[in-house]
Amino acid sequence: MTRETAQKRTSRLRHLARAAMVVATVSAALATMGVAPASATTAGISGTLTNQWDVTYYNTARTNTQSKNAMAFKVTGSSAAGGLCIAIRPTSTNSGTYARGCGTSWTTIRHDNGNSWVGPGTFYLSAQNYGGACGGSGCGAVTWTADLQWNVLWF
Amino acid sequence: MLAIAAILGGAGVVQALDNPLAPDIVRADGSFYSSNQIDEVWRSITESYPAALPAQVKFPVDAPSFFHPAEEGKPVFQTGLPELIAARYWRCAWLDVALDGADRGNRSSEAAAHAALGAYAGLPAVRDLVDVKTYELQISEYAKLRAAKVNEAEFTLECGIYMEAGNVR
Repeated sequence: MTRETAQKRTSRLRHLARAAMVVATVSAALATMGVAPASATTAGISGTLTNQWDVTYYNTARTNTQSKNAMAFKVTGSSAAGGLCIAIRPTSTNSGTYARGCGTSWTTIRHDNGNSWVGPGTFYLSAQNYGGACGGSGCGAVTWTADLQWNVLWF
Repeated sequence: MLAIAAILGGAGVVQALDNPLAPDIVRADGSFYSSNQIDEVWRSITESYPAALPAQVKFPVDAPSFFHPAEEGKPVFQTGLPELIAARYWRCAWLDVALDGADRGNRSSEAAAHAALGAYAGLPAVRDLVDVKTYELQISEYAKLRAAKVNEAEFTLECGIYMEAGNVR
């Protein structure tokens, strides 16, 4: 392949990746019907925070299948002003959570080694309060909702 | 177990006082085990596991490192997670037998492992929380794209929890 052709192909692939993100909600709908989405997936997630120390691990397994996967989340409703820290705990390694992001609007879940992508495999989410919005004795029960995006081709 | 936890949600605190294996934390978003109880919960799940492990393989006595993250903060684990990780360990043990059988040209061993793996979809928590068909499709697609065998691809991707226990054949 000539260099020019390779560059054109890369440019087309970037368009495809953006298109994949646009149809991510369609993929999520297909997943609900039991059809495996082949690429990017977005789903609504939610939970409760009761203090700033609990790191809550949830029991939904999700699987990244790209060689390099972009992941992100966006808080869609939360009465905790500071936002969320979302981390992922894979089953592929015994080294613990290894990627995380903290924020409110679209936040990249970044590998602890600095990469802005994570490898393939099944993972579980954890959520933690971010920003110390819950003071010393806790903040009551705060319900948060977010959109999670995973299995997005990263390159 | 999950259905029982939902029904008794309102009485969760009382349950915890009477039963050390009941989740310590009951909240609006679910019931959760604390790190104080997770090893005991793990033992209770694995000591009479409904599907046999391969010969000479045992579940680790303490919950795997998945449940002992070396990070700040107090981890709490939703009900169902210990069962899912135990099922993952179980599945990896049989994948290991299948792969080892294939490596050695031992077809009966390989076939026995594949037959055993048929029980995965019915394991505790897997039957309630995992869409096994979709998962297997994803792994199959992943393996195909890389011209890899499905069992090898899955074992590499998913079996750190099993490998850390030092059982790999």
